[in-house]
Amino acid sequence: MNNNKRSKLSTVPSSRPIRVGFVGLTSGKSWVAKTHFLAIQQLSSQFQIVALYNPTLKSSLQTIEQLQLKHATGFDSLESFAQYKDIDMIVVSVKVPEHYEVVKSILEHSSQNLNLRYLYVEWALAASVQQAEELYSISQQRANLQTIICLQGRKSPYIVRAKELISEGCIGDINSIEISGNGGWYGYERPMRSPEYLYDIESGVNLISNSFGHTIDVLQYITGSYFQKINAMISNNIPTQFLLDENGKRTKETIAKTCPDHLLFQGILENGKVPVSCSFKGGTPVKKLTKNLVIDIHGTKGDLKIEGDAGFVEISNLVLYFYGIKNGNGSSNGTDNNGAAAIEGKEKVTKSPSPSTGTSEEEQTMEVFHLRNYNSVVGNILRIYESIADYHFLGKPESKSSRGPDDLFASTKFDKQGFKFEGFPTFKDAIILHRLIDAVFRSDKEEKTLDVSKIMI
Amino acid sequence: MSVPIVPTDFAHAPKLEQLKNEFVECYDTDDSRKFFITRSPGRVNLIGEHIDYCQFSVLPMAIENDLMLACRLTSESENPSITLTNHDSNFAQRKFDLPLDGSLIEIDPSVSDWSNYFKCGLLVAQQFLQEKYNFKGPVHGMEIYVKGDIPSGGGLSSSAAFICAVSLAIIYSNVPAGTPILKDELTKTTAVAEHHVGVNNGGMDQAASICGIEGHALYVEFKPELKATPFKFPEDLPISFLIANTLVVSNKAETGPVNYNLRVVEVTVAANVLAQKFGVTLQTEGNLGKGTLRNFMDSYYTKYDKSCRKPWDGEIQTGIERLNKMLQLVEETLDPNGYTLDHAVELCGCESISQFTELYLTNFPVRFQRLKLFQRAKHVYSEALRVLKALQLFQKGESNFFEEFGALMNESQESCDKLYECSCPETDSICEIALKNGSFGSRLTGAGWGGCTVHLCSTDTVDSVKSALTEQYYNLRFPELTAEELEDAIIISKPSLGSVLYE
Repeated sequence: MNNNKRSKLSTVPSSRPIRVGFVGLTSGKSWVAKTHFLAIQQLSSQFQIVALYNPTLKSSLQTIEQLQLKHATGFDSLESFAQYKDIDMIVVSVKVPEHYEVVKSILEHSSQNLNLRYLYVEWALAASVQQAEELYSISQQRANLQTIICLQGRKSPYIVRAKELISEGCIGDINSIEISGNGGWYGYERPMRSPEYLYDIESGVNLISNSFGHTIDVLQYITGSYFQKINAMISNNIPTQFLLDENGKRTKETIAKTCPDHLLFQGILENGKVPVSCSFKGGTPVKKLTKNLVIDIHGTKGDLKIEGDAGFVEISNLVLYFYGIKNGNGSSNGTDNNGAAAIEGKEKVTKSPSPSTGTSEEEQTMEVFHLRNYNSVVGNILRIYESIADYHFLGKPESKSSRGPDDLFASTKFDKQGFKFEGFPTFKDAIILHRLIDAVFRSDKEEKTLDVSKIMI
Repeated sequence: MSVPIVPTDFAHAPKLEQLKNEFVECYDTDDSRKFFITRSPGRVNLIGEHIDYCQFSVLPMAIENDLMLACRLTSESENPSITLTNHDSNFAQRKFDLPLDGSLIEIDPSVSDWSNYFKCGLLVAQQFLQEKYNFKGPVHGMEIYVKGDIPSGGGLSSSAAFICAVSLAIIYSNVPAGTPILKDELTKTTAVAEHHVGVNNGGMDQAASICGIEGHALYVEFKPELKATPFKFPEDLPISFLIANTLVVSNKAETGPVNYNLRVVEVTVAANVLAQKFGVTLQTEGNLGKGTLRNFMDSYYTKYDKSCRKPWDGEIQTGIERLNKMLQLVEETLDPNGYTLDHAVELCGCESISQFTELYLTNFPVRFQRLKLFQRAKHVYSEALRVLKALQLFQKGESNFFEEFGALMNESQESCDKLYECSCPETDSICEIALKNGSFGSRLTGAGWGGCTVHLCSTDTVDSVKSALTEQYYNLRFPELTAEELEDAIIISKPSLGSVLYE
């Protein structure tokens, strides 16, 4: 597979674009406006926004005007929005505590809406694993509904590159892994405008479900393995935080926090029984002598490390370091003499010039992969949309046969992305992650190492 | 000098008329909206390979093969969007909206997509408009039809021609009618455009495409600023340049980590290792902001030569003297066996691998086993020297131009092959055949690793070179080539005109 070579691939379909309805798109500075909307703008031949649902019609109409959404209709009833026949895809981007109600309502009211083929929800799928299971089970009954979860870290070019290097055997077998991360706002300080629910343990949004969730999913995705057993310890040593004013300066005001501010996690990956140890810091102060995001993977033949200044793997521009062998074991088809195949594509006819002197195949290769101008906040989400468009207009991942946009049969729907390069993560991938996170909380509570080897079923 | 804006009756210009017809067939007729065509040629570098990013001057010329962009503004009532269609079906259609708030477009440098090159040209043009004209809004939406006959990935800089044509179109359609578009401004604007897709290039290609003049080679300088000076070929000589494509595809953006970008890193590290050895400090210039081999030359002379404590100003005789000195220093100090990571870290005066990595390796993706500082630096200094010698030949205008210029080209090829390792067996084979059959000088052109070769012929020998290449290279290696493909593989071109706009 090569997602990186796209010149020949048509992205202006002969059929109409996928018509998108948004829940939670409000004008100006909202998260969706700064991410999903910009992604869609760059894919305007493949996606078109046709509907907005917001609790007030006024807010939808305002957004339509400000973003000049010429094809969009505003709705103030979720019911009629979900029934709107012109929608092919619904994107839900509201507060996680609201996901369950909103998504459930959409699923119920759209059951007769046969045009609706895609339901795309931000991570976390729901505030609790029980809610998530219920949403998953409802969505599964819909034969023609493909679900998507926004675990966009999986589409980060750094993650994809790391996955390539490991799957090609460039660091040999994995020995051990260390991870450190940062939850951003669960430290000693909290921005003034930050919504209260983020700090409320009942809301289901916290250090663990959010930043740890994204990161550990990415780790499993890179290594191609789920966990076998895990153990976790959760701290709340910072029950009150200082508020920061608009300029980010600390004020004297303090505020309570029930969400955890540190996570210790360790576990054994199923494949190769690889030990993983992991420390997630809540937030400020940020580390001064170490990067705030580190995924450090040690193998028998080399090492691979991903670093980021901000702690969020899914939205950060990262740097990937690799020191290992340039041709891994199982990679005869992937890497040519230059080792650039992962970037240039397998069908490439480039011949390697000039035999190099003084180097040998066994000599270690250094690679630093960093894309200076990559906007990862929009870019990773954009890549999920691109994968959806590829699936929609070009066919199911791994199937060569292209099909028209009007014949999506149940059989073409796929259950999960799992560890595949192709496609995109679904509610099933979300559920597996929810189950892992649930196990993290249980392990802490029960003070036990838990077997999680069955959660992907 | 400004880019010629030529009022044109398309009905009387067959090539342009044809392009307009193809445009209309692809979109539709709507004469109410502004239609125009921008054109930018490819280039062939005669001598001076892989030294532009070390700030040493080069000697390219624009060729007759070009890229044309037929453009029509979209209606004001629609949200501004760009639709791109290419005559070549290898490049599928693209459409994207422009940010309504006038912010710059995003480019995903991790993906290889032809529309990224369009976005590069768009992005730098918009930045230029913002800086020079305080331009605020989104640029005009456009429907665009692209057609060109520069082989892509062939080292004739199809990407630069594309970007130049794009930037020209964007600037033209967003400034008041009649505003001159200055060549040197367009050159500076587009020179850095490809950095946005992770190609760490120097600016030669854009300068040549924009500033080309019929019958002239261009002396392109990078210090103290980017500048292209036309040089007329010696009068009355029957010079003919033949360009032969190896048909080995080379894409700088895709093989960058082991080829192009790695060379940029190697010459930068070489400059810094030399600076450490001789105890001088480099200016923070160059593509990595870590100083160049030219910076080292200047620093060395500022410190050690009492007679002239100033940077080289481009004067030929001084340049020859100093470059010879640099070659001597390279021979004396650098190790031909290459440098492992640990060794390079130490010699650059870095504390740790991570410091070295941060300074040299994080600008563009790179991958290596050993850094060949000796070979790369030796190539750069000797190649810069050959450019100066070539320039002397232009100035002398003597009758043994063929032999002398040809010899310089051959030396350049040798250096690219053995020291810079950017040649390939196909290139070597073509050069050998051409030289045996009437070429006076044969070498790769452009980045190398495939792509095109350039051969100095006289009008008397050009045909024999062409037929020898057909028989001994193309028929043997690519027997399945159609007549048309074969025709396209060999280009015989005179130095031609640079960017132009037809309205």
